[in-house]
Amino acid sequence: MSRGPGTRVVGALDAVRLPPALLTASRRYLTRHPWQTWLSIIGIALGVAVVIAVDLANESARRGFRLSVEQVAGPATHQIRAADGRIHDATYTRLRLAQGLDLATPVIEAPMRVGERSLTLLGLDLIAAAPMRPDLLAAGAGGADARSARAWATALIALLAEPDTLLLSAADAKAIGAAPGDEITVGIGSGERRMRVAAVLPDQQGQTLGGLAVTDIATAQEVTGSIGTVERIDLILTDAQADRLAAALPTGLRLTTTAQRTNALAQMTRAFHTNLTAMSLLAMLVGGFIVYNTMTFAVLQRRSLLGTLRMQGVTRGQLFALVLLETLVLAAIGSLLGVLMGIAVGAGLVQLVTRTINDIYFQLNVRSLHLDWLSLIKGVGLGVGVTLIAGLGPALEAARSQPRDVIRRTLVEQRGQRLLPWLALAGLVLIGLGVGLVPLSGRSMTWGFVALFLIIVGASLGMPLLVRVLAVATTPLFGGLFGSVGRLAARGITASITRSGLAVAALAVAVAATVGVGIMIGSFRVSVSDWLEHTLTSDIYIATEPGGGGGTDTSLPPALADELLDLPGVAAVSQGRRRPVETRTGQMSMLALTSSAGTPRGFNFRGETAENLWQRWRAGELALVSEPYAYRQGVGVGDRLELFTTQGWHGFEIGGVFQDYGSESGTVILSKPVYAKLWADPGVSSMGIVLADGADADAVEARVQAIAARLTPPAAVQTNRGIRALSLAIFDRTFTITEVLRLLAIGVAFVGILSALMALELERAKDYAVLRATGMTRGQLRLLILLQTTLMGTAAGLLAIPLGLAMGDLLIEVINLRSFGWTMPLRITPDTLAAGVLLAWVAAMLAGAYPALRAARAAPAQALREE
Amino acid sequence: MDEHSGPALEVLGLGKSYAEGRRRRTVLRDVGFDVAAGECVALLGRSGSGKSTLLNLLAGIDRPDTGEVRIMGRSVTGMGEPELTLLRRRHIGFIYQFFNLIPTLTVAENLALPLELNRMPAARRRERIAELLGKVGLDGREGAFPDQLSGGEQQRVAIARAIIHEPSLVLADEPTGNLDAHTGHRVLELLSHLFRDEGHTLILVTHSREVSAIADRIFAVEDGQLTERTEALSW
Repeated sequence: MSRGPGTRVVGALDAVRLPPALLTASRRYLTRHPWQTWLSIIGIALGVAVVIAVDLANESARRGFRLSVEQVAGPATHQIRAADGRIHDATYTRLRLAQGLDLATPVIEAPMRVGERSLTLLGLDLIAAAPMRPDLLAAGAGGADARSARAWATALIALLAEPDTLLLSAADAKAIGAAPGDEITVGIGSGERRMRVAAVLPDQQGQTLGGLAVTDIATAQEVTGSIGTVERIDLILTDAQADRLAAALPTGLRLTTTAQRTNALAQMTRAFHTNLTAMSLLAMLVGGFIVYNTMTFAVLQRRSLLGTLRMQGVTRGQLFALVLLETLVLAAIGSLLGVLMGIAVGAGLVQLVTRTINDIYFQLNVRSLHLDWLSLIKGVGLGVGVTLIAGLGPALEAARSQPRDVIRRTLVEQRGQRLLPWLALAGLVLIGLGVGLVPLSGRSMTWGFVALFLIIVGASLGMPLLVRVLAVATTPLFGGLFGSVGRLAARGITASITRSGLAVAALAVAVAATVGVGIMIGSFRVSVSDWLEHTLTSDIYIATEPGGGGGTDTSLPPALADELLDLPGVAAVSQGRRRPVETRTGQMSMLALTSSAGTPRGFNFRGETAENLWQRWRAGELALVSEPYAYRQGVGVGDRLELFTTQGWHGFEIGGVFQDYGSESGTVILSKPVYAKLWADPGVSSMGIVLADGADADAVEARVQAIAARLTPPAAVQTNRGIRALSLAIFDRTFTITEVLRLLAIGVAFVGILSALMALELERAKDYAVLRATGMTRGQLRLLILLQTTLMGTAAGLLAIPLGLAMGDLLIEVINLRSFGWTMPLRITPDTLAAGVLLAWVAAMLAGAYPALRAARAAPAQALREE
Repeated sequence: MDEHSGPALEVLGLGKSYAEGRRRRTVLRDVGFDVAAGECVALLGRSGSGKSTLLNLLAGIDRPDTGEVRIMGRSVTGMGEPELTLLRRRHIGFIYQFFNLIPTLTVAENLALPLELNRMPAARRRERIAELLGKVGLDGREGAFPDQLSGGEQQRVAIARAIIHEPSLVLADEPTGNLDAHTGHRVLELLSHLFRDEGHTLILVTHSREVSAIADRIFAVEDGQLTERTEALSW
């Protein structure tokens, strides 16, 4: 009688059913090898922790961004913005009345500081905004008694009627140490002023309004120096109302949806988040190596045992399930630990992530760690998934156990040795695929990372073979230097290459990552430094606020340029106006320049420029765009760029693409007179002073400082050297998180090599005992193990260099370019490479120290007795 | 298979050779013999004579080049891996020179494993383990781990494990090879009595005449061929 499908299913289930004794044996194996088990768990935990920490930090930053935007925009569906960034009060009033805009408020938003705390000043028309922003303006009216409601109303009236008054959130007020009625010193732009806390906004249903300082629009106009104008108008509109309003807007004003704007801002940090995620995945990859190593060792160590079990009738399926179950247990414990560690590390990382975002993108008001369940689940899923994939090979190896393995113990190592060339070949294929994918993947960042990971995995597959070649090649050298101990050390590596090779590969990948990232950061830093050197052509800068202005709409007095030019020792004065500008594809930064010396200097053009560049640029025919903009938009010299001016859309021909690391979203440079005409803005936000040959720089600076202090609000003065130092400090701060992730990846690799060495030491306990029994001293045994770890560490370091160089090159040529649109030459410093080798060597030595001591301490008789 | 009335083991024209470089070395040549149920047969031979290869072929853990092995009337030679696994689980017991107990299981758990694999109910399992421990003289040691036992004790556990699921055939590979003379003698006595009592079929592979003395019949393995001996052997 033929068996039905049901019988087959039962049969299949029976084939993997694990008898209790088998489970007990497995559990006791893990608990009897605590070093192996815990190192493996720690490896997984570290990998998961890094992934979770980065994900939590990213998610918290995204949430912080979303909340920050929501806080400021409130429930507004649309915004009206002007080409020149300023909407006159009269325009607002006219629009409100003519279009019947009931739910509309003028807004001024500006960064503000109170002590060390960064806040966002939000100026609103309190009466017009009341129905739109009950979260802000009715927040304090919900008190239980009439007295508190009256107090709130009094506070709002004070806010309306009294200048220099503001509302703070309860959290900020507490952090600043301010109570209602207190006066505080606030910094806006380069100036400071005293303001009074009219009231404190209570937290609402867990939603904090932290980071906001709300003022009446009139106060905001006064403190930001934009009397008579507002930054934008926030509105709540239906689609039909929006269509009607868009058609009726005067030239120079544009209606956009709040969502469009939010998305455009969110896109800016996408590459930053993706890069962090990739770094965390690298740590997980190294964690996967550890698991693979541990589980392979666990299977190999029990080879004879597994053969015995097969002789007793244990099926292949049962052995497969057993090893996979062990892996799953390690994965579960490691992942749970990883979650706890990830939350702890994430709390630190979120500060680094938000600080970087604040430094280079925009101000985040919400910076706390948000425990996102999805991040935790994703981290655990990834940890368990990678661990199970890593355990799959060893589980299959266990399932391949033959009953004859009881007798033939060296079979597996022999099989592994035979596999090495094939693994190397597979590695070459993967590297080929990765390299081939680079040009084929266009501008995709994700595929760029896939190519990078293919190359990393491919290289690691080839490493065991290279380690064997290296060990064989160095055997005579080690023999010559250290006699039989040296030969034994080198041959020990080749004899257990399936495990020692893997340990070297794990360490090499981690070190290569540090070398690669080190090269990328080093190249980037030198490029930024060169760029600053080239771009900052003036010796002293005076600006409406540190960094050159743009945040607020203040302007330096028009007569200042002549006053500066008249100073003794001043050769030329350039003037600049920096502000955001709308293009057809989103917002970018614009710098309008003019120089008393004629042609602007400091441009390093990529490729050809248009003919009669400067003449046509001054005439307003040409615009210069930065490299990131040109890369992102796929445009070059001769292409058109449309900018939204006070006279509507205006087209420019792109005359040149210049190197720029200042803005990831892109910068356009226009001639100042052209800008002044098209945007009806004669203002200047910064001036650059070029000193005459032989001028006393300190004396000129002192005079400029004195002039700046006289201005209202006072302007900031910075020297060329000061700006460069500040820029590089911000650069270094930006990469702090990358350094932290690099260190974590090294930590995972260190655990990996320690785990591998401990496993090898356990496996060789009997060999060591035989050596001790035949007269080898404890010192010689220690030397043997340390020589082995030295060789492994050196091999890892040497193998990490080519891989690190390739990674560095890929990070620069592919990832950085696709993420940010920046190009830079690869700069290899011997220090970075030497540090990589040293790092691998030290990690291996440290990891080998304990096994060496342990092996030397072991009593030979006991090891010999244990079969 | 359990209702089989013929010989417990039939070996027909078995041949096996291995590649040695470009040449092939013949290990077994046209080997044939029968073993009746309950009989004890010794395969006696020097190191490298091919006796271990023959044992592997009998257990189905190696494949012959020619010939056939039948256990309880069923051909092992043509069986697939799952069938062989089931055959070993239900019908074969093994005793090794190096005991091969599971180091992370206690004595009782080592004995329980074959029974659990054969899905024997827990109550009957406990009874059978207690019975066997009594027979091999290890009462009270059921909670001990293998590394807490002497070599002789470990081999007694291994013997108990080999017969606990009442297999049709027990294969023993140099069962006293790793024990001193005195302990080896005691283990041999136990093996002899136990197998007579329980009526198992036993194939012993050994190079020791003392060990082969407990067998009903002795086959000498020399130069890949098998000859039944009745007189004392020269080594």
